[in-house]
Parts: sequence; C-alpha cells; structure tokens
Amino acid sequence: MSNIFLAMKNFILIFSILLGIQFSAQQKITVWPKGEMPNSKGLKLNNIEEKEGRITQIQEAELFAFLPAKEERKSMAVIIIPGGGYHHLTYDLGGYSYAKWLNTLGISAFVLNYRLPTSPDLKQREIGPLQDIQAAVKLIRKNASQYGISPDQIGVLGTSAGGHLAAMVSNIPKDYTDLKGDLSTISTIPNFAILVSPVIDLGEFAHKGSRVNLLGADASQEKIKEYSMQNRVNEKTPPTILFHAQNDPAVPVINSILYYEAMIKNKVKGALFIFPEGEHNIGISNKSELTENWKEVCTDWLKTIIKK
Amino acid sequence: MFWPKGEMPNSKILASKTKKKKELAALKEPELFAFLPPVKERKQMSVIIIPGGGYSKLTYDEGAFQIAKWMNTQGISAFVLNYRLPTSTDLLQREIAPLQDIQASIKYIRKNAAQWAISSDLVGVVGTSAGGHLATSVSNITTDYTQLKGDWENISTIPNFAVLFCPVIDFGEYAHKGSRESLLGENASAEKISEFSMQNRVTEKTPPTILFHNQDDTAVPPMNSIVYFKAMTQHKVKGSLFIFPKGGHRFFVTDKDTLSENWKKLCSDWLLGFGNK
Repeated sequence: MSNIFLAMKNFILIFSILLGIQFSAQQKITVWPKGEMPNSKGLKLNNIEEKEGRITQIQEAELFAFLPAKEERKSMAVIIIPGGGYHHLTYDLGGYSYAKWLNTLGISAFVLNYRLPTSPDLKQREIGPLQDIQAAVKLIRKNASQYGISPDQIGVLGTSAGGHLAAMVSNIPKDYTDLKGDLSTISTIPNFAILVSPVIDLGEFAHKGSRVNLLGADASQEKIKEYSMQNRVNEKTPPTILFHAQNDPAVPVINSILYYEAMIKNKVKGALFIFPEGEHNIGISNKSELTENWKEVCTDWLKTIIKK
Repeated sequence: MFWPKGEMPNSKILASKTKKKKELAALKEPELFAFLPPVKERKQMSVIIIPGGGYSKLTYDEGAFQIAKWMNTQGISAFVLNYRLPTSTDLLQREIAPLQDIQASIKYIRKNAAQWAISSDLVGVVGTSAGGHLATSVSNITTDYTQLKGDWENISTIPNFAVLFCPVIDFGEYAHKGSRESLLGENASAEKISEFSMQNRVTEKTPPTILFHNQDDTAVPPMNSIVYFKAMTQHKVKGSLFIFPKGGHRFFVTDKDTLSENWKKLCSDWLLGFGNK
C-alpha cells in the first residue's frame, strides 16, 4: 500500500516538474487567499480541459502572470479575461496569446481563469465570474510594487463573453468579494478596458449561449436588463476601446455599438473600431490586413491612457 | 466644368427665355479639379472628393485638396467637386442642386474614364462634414436628377464606394443645424427632415462605406456616423466604422496625434481590399 502511495507521490512530483518546465514562461497565482473564496459549496472539482486550449471546469480562480523583461517593463498592466460563452475558457487563444503580445509592448499581463457560472460548486451562478475578476483586480493592485507596476494603471481586456465580464467589472461598483483586511478597501474598478468582439447585451442581440450559461434558461426580463451591460454604463465607467467585426456571426456587432452609445451618453471617453471582416476571430494574428491594424490602434490608444 | 454647355438644370438664368449675356457671364457653374497620379503609379480606382462647409460654403482647400493629394500618393485619382450651394440665388429648387452636381460629375467621370486610364466601375466618393451628407445622398438616392440626355442617360449616378469623414447624416436629433437650414430652409417639415436624414435612405444597394469620426466632435456628433452604420448593418451593406477619441471636427493628412494618424492606414487598407475585388 505504502509503496503504491510512494509511487503515486513520485509520479505527481515528476508530473509537476514537467508542468513547471512546460509553463516556465508564466507564473501561476491563486486569486483568493486561502479559505476566503466566497460563493463556494466546498466541492472538490477536477480541472477539466475538454480539448486543447479549452477549459470547462476549474476548482478556483487562477491568474497566469506574463511579465516583460524588467528593463522593458512599463507601469501598465492588463488582466486578460478569456471568452468561451461562459461555458469554457479559451485561455490560450483568448488569453496567453494576448498576454504575449502585451509583453512585447512592455505591458504586464495576467490571464484570469475564472470560475464558470456552470460550475456545480457555485451557490449563486451569475456572480461567480464577477467575484473572481474583482478579487483579481484587488490582488494585482495590492501586489503592484512587487511586479514593478502601478496600482492605478490596471486595465482589463476581454474577448467575447470575457468582454461581458470586463464590462461587468467596469460598471458594477458593488464589491462582491467579501474580502477583509487591507484587501477590503482596494477598488475593484479597472482603470481602462479593451473589449474585443464583446458580449454586451443579453436581450435582443444576445449571444444566447452566454446568457443561458450566466443567468440560466429562464432568466426574468429584469435580470436580463440588469446584466445587459449597456444599461450599466455611467459617468464613472473607465475609458474603453471596442473592436468588433461587422460580419461577426456569433456576437452581433450591435453589442459593441450599444455599449459605445451608452458611453457617449454618459461622457465616457473611448473609441470604437468596427472592421468589415474578422468574424468572431479578431485576435493576434488576423487574415485581413485591415483588421490586423487593430493592434496598432490599440497600442496607440494605450499610450494616450498612460499620459493621464 | 462638367455640365454640357447650357444643360445645367435647376438654374434660373439658364431657364429664363431671355438669356442675357451679362447674367450668363456671372453664372457660377460647378467645377471638378482633377488630381492625377503619374501614369505609372495610377491604379484603376478614383474618387470624387466632396468638400464640406455646412452647405453654406466650400472648404475645398484645407480639406479636399489635401485629401486629393494623399489619394494620389496611393495611386488613386482624385477629383475635387465644387458644387452649387443650396443658398445660391440662381437655383429654382435649393435642396436638389448639390445632388444634381455630384450625380452629373459621377456620370462625367465614368463617361471619360478611359481617357484617364481609370475604371468606370471603381469610382468612389469621399465626403467631409456636409460633403458626407452629399456623399450619402448620392449613394442612396436612385432618382436621376440630372436630366442629361443621350449617352449620358444610361450612366449610373451611384458611386461604387463611399469614404466619409465626420459626416452630417441625420437632420433630426443629432443634426448639424446649419447644414439642415442651408439645405432645407428654416422651417422644413418633419417629413422633409426624415427624407433628408440619410440613415433612413440606406438600402441593400447602398455601396460599401467606411466612416471616420471623432468622439469629441461637437459640430457634428459621432451619433451621425453611428446611425448610418447601424442602418448599413441592418441592410447588410459592407463597411467599417472607426471612431477615435479625439480630434474634433476634422481629420488631417498631417496629424500630430499618433492615434488619429492611423486613419490613413485604415483607409488605404480598406480601399486596397476593395480595389482587389
């Protein structure tokens, strides 16, 4: 018995060394202080990676830190929120890929794998992801000096459903983290937001999968309105830049337009860039030369944020 | 000058039976200024640039000529249109005069395309401010107001694409009031306002369109571009919408702001993708 146990222990040790080598580029950070993760039934869950690059279940929220070389590191940092229709996490294509690109600009990046609202461990499904991103913003701000970054230049970048979560943390002032001590007074609102093909509306123009996964199949009209982020924009919404493709078949372009219209109404500074092509795949490498320009535009926009 | 002699419609002087020489001499006719790239660098594509000025003047130099020269650097031929203003006293019907002029100039460029070694079906319009209103008018209004006869008659007045900078689109809630009053007069009816609000005229046949606007444009609010792009998307018209945070009511060819400078790259890539099709 003990031999088997020992063998297993060795196996786990070797396995984790292999993992350590494989992912040496980034550092894994647990978002919640031990025992303080709210909204959990205390179930033990396995991490499930349905297929490569697509995680469908995690035990608890994790951040993967991507830091540029010290000499090239600026004071800005971005928390990247992968999409996946609130059903899975496209942490590589919608996460690591953006992180590496931001690193080439000298910007530190943290990819957030948040608890999915479909997790059986959650007591209240629709606030699980929000709690995780709020705690992540606080954690990065708290440890900013350790990374050599500034706590007031922390942005969020969200793709698809991750854009919905980025818009949530931008606009919902209520702190759902229940964190105590010095973490309790740190703001959860990011300093800026980058939204790529974001889910915004959960009503008429909704990506239905995202709505059903976040709010359940029978959400009330009030709840749908409450979670349609164009209705939550206010004068305190941080500066936001939006990118969308007109031919996006999954998340209609009107999602970004509705959000930007609300920004204009509420005098929130920002920009909106809609490309004819790119479908639901605007990313770091694009087929269309025209769409490829989004990175240059985004880079130049981030420079205007730093000045302030 | 592009109207065949004596055929310009909607002119009191030309319409009067007793055409006095003196008055004829004073008659201001619309003009096109041609900017052509060297033959070796010349592509098939051309644009007619429609200057703005709130339908009460023409800002042809600062805006239009600069854009024409930039188009030339892309190998694209450019023609700057000085159109009759709706405020002109010679007009019989004020609100259709600018449209007649742009429609006739499109016919003229298409008719003479071979002469400049350009294609008659890659003729676009570029409009700034009120010129954007005229560019969208000619994009969407299918009635031919030119009254031109003969071989002119069958040439389409609809451009192949449109590029809009800070365009005036809406004459209602988001209107640039000066443009509306110059074009429609001070007491335009609600029907007329709706008819000349170009977001209401978009159809599936509207040509592909790219729009540029600045969020801090206080003269023509960016909602003008947004309502147009929404109508385009509704009618499955291909295009782009780029709204920059800063820059006011203009886009400069030599822009100091690095973010705003990107409009040129975005525009040339869009035109390139378009020209290849």
